[in-house]
Amino acid sequence: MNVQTIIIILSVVAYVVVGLVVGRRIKNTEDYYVSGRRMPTFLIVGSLIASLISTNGFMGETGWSYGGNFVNEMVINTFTAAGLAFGVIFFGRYLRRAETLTMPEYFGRRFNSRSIQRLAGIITVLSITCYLLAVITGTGVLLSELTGLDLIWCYLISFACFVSFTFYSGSNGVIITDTMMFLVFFAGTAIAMPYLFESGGGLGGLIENLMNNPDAPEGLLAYHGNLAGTGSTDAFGAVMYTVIYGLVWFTVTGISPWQAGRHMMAKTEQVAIRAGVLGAIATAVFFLILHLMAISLINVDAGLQPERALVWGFYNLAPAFVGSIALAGIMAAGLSSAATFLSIIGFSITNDILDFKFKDDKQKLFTSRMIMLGFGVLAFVLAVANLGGIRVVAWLASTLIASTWCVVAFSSVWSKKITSRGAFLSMLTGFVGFVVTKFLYGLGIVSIFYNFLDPFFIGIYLSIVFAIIGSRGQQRTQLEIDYFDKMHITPEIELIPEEIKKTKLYIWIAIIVGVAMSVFLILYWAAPYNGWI
Amino acid sequence: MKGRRFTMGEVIMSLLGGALVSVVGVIALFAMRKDERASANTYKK
Repeated sequence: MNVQTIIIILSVVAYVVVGLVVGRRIKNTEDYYVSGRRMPTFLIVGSLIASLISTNGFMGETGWSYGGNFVNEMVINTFTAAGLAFGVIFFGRYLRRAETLTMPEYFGRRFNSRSIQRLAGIITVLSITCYLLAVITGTGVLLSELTGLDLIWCYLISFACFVSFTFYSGSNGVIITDTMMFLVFFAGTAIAMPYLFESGGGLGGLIENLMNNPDAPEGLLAYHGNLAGTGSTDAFGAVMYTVIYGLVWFTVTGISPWQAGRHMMAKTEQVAIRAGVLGAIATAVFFLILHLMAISLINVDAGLQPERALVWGFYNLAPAFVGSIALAGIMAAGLSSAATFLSIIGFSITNDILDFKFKDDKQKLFTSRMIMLGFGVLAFVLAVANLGGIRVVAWLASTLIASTWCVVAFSSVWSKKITSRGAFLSMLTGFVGFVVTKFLYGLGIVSIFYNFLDPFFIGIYLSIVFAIIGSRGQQRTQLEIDYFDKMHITPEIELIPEEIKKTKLYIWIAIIVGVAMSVFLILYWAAPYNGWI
Repeated sequence: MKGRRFTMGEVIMSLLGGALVSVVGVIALFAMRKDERASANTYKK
């Protein structure tokens, strides 16, 4: 057994132990589902980022960069980061204010409709099960690569790990283990970074080396990236692909249950806003560094299998101990997302889909745990059946939920016209529109569903149209009106001047970091690439 | 890279790849003004 395997196993054991210890503090469903709504900024940031960056972020997406789509990734990641800040300001803080246990429950209460709650629950479960599949595949492949064990055994080990602490400790454990894992992959990447850059000729000479590297993928440094990687035949198509998936991820981080849902656990709304803004800064900077590391590997060896490139780099280019921490970080990223997804599936089925009057909290907790176990097994079986690449499945899942929920989520907070019928039809047609067009396009039956006719946009268009049509001729009930009005009254505890000032300081930092990143990219990449300096 | 057509594409992508966060930050600052006004009214009482 090598040092990498030992460190990964030790880190996994640590997560399980912490999860089990934290689980002992669970007293009721509020503790189990939303960590008692008392989490500070740091833990919310940790959980936001750990849930967002999974093995897909470390392997699937860095593989795409390595294969020639660095520019596309960089832009998509900034949209992703911006969505965290936008989402919490215009949706997440209101979700926090609603004080529900799950997001589908929020929709159900906002529109006073059990049908909407159930539909949102079903969409959550379908989408997140796909995502869980992508993540378990990633952790299994990584473990197999490192240990040489059979892939099925590796799926089983990763399954046993994330199911055990999620099963026992719910959100209380997930948010703490998420933050631990976030620290591990941040630290691991930071300490391995100099070795990877050094091997590729140094960060200072990276762009020049890549420009002169005949083995570099086609279009790597051009504004449109590698056309083949986007499925386009021209630069316009590739840029559109980038913007479209940027908008998708902007929406995902703004409204998805595994991102916006984290805000329900925040101590206050100001804490939620700070966490969203800090998360945006950390995501933008971290992803930029990670993808620069991925393309620096092209200068070392341009013939690696893209999704394994970063793992190969950590394993072969950094000293054994440093590489082990980085690899433990990738494993942690996968496990943390899997734990979050599994918990959301369990909560949604128990709280939103099942029409069952639980005797007490104990029975509800037991049901949630059994469902998590069942879905953990399902994800394991699907992973063994090898149902698709890591990035492909993860992006499909994220697109599905963004396309289906986006319109209803924002209009639930900002529209006085949308009614329960409009919201239900909007969500349903968004879902059907996305799934049908994706299916037709994927099988090559219809070829027009790309760019602004991408299934994501078809879902959004249908959602908007049916929200309007469905709301016509129906009046909002008094309960809906009261709920909406109450949601727009800011609680006094959120208005302490010092707290608002502190939140604004975080926002100013985000503004400065964003500008600094653009200046860096122009001076570091755009200018030398175009021969201006 | 000789003979390559001049393009602003890389600059535009650089702006999208960073300043988008700043744009959302500015929007967030505007959104916080509502809280500031409510805060001023609450603590003036």
